[in-house]
Amino acid sequence: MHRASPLLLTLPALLVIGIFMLVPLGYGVAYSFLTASPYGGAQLPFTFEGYQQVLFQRDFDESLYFTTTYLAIIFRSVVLASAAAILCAVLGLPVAWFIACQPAKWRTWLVFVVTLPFWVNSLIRTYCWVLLLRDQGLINLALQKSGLTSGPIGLMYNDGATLLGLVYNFLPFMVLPIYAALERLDPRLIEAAHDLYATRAKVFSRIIIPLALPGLKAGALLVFAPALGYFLVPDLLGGGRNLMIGNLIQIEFTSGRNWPFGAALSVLVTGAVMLVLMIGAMRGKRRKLSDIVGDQL
Amino acid sequence: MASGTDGSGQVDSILELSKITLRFGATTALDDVNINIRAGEFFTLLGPSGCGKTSLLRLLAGLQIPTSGHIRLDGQDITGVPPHRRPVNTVFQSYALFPHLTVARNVAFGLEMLRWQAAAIQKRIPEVLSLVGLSSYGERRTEQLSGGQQQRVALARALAPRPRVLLLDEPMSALDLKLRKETQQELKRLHREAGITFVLVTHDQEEALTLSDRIAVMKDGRVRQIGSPEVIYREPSDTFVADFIGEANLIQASALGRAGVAGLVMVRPEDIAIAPESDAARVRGTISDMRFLGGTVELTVVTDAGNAIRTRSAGAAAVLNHGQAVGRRVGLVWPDRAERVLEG
Amino acid sequence: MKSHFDWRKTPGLGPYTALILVFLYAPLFVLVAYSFNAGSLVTVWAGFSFQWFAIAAANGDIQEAALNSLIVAASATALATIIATFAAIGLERGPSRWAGPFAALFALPLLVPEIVTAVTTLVFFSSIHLRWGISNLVIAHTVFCIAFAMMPIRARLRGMGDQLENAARDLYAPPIKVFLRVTLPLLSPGIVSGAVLAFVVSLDDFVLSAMVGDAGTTTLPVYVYGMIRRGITPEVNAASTILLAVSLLLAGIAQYLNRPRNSA
Repeated sequence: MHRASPLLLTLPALLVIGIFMLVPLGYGVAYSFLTASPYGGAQLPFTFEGYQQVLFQRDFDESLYFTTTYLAIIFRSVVLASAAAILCAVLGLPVAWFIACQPAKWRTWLVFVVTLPFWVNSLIRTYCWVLLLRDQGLINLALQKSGLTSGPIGLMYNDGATLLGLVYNFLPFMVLPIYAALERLDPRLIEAAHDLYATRAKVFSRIIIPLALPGLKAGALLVFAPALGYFLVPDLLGGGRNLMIGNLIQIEFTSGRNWPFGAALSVLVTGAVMLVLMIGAMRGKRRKLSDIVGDQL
Repeated sequence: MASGTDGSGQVDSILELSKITLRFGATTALDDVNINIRAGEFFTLLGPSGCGKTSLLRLLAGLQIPTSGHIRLDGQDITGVPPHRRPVNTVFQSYALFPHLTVARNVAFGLEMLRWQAAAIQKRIPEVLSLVGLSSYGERRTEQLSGGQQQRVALARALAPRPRVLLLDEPMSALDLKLRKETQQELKRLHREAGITFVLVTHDQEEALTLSDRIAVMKDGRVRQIGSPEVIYREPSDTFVADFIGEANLIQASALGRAGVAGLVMVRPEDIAIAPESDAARVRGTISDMRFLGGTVELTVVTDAGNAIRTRSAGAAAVLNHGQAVGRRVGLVWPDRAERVLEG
Repeated sequence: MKSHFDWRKTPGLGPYTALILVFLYAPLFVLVAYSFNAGSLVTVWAGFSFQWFAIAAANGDIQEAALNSLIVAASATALATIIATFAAIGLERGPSRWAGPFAALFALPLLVPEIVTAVTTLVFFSSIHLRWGISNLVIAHTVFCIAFAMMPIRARLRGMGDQLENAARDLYAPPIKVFLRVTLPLLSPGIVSGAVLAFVVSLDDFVLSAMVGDAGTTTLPVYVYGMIRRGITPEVNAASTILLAVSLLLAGIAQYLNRPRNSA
């Protein structure tokens, strides 16, 4: 009897998220099966046109032909998001270990220092790299001043710039879960390993990395999932010819005026993200992703 | 006199638990529990962890509702009455002091909820604080206190509203041994002075024997025996109670040559004396181990029938030459009244 | 060996970490430095000046966008924090059978890619012809912020346990008094953390505001994005630096609020 009433407290949240999140997602799914109307929006009849367009385009004579245009964008998204996750792991693991080795008082501050840039508006963070990478940017200026190059070299508008932006944006997402795993590590394990003749390198590969693995997995999910559909970084640093799925969706809902196709892409990317997260959540100690995310913030 | 069973004292019982059963899904936490607690007594629920004693306490506090059965307080059914409407207070295991309130505000909390007059509250706070010996601590924050002091604040807070029954959930488990002994005496004094019925939950049999007027020994959600500490110790109703309270030698009746007696014979180690290996001895055997425990000496004798029997006495050291005890053949004797035959 | 072996001190790890910190902070410093450039050319340093801040602050469009951002962030924060507080209590203190599925539902805005949330919200609003101007944005932000606000509140509730609330009930406090006298005061650091987080998340948002908003509801990030698209000017840098400063201020507040928990 006392236990039923607290559940009522979730009602406002259920209503708000149900109506303004779940229902719109349902609309998205429904739209993905509709026909594009010429002025944006969508209309009946129900078709699979939206999904078909991922692989095929209609010729002038209405016949379908296979195209890799969109497949390439999807492929780039998956590759860049995976690369960002791997790069974050490689860059972040030593940082997390360094923090975990510091005295408790310092650790709190180091974690704060690592996460502080993450609080800065993501648009601003990405814009900072525009200032550095563009043709008149700081890096090109420095290169020319020092005589290493005669003219500006194209640092922006390529996949490398996008990858750099993704790593910059999501690095804290990797450092924190690894650090959380390493902080709980019993120091006596390290000492025992050294006692059993392990070198630093062996301790790192045989003890620290295996015990950091849950954190690495959580971090990989936390980087990959948002990176896959990220909009700002490929938009500002990748440019028009190096789109990711997020940009394609945005285009289809604005200038492209092909809502069913955009909705179909949304369904695909959301499905992929959910699948990855569910697999991760099932494999990693049955922790809910919300808990993993919750630990970090 | 008071036998092991309950059911007497309908008149003076303050809390009556009848046919209490509590289930969580498929697991049964409490199974047909019947207890009458008398007004003013110090009653203890004793048992190993998982026996259901804490669940029972939560039922008394109103924090849990039994699946079936009834709880009566002063004859009134309070089974489904929420905790804030029953005149019962709890000293929680980790004290549950409100960290955002001072000691005095903690003590005043229940009184404010009961809408006592401000003047009455102001009078009551120093009263209970001095009762627990913390008169000058009213304005302290609770985290500034030691474990023992926090425990006394918890006591003061629970006693302040003058509850009909005070529930204590393993209140001494977080204290070290020395402090625990002191606190036990303190509790005994508080019980005398407050004149309130105390219901204590503990897994510490020594604590239960020291403090209680009566004890209910529980196991697996059932009450195995209810009685005074003496009765529980001297006349355990079964082998579990015999083994859980103090130490017991449980010997097959057949090994003692008792024709026609089935089951186990229980004898406490301190009731057994070492004797020469003569016909007068009840059993004969070889000393296999000797432990010096300071005031007493504990001997383990392996009988000819293969039972290990422990004895404990102050005199043993004098009887036996210290170093040469192990390996000697001895006889064991005990008076008839020290025996109790239990069903196997 | 000159010094004794200490496994906590891996050679080179300190400088490496410092390098990563440079990677994290250098771009931000470059922006801030540029925004104090007196010259009208971004690339050429012409001395230290506050003039671009003055120009940005005097820009009526920026003022309007900043006001919009503030209205949306404040409203969404207030709504989301209240809703999240109740929901968190429901999840932590209610029957555990429902906590899992409900928590998953509330975490949905964290899991779905932001661009998808943005376009589906756009589709939904346009389908039901919801044209409430800035209120549309407030609704969209609230949904998003609930999930963030709920995290520290739930963590705090879980850390508290229910024993203190049980103690209050045992001491004759009816449910409403338990909430007001015990739950709420003890939960308040979590609630404030949740509110700060919601506010930051709302201020940070660009994609949702850009897709769901219209001409009259331009928020500061949306406006700055437009400026960046039109060309890089010292004014953009100044406006960006203001946003950056606000973010860092909020981060400092959040860190300050979390301090007692860290030291405990």
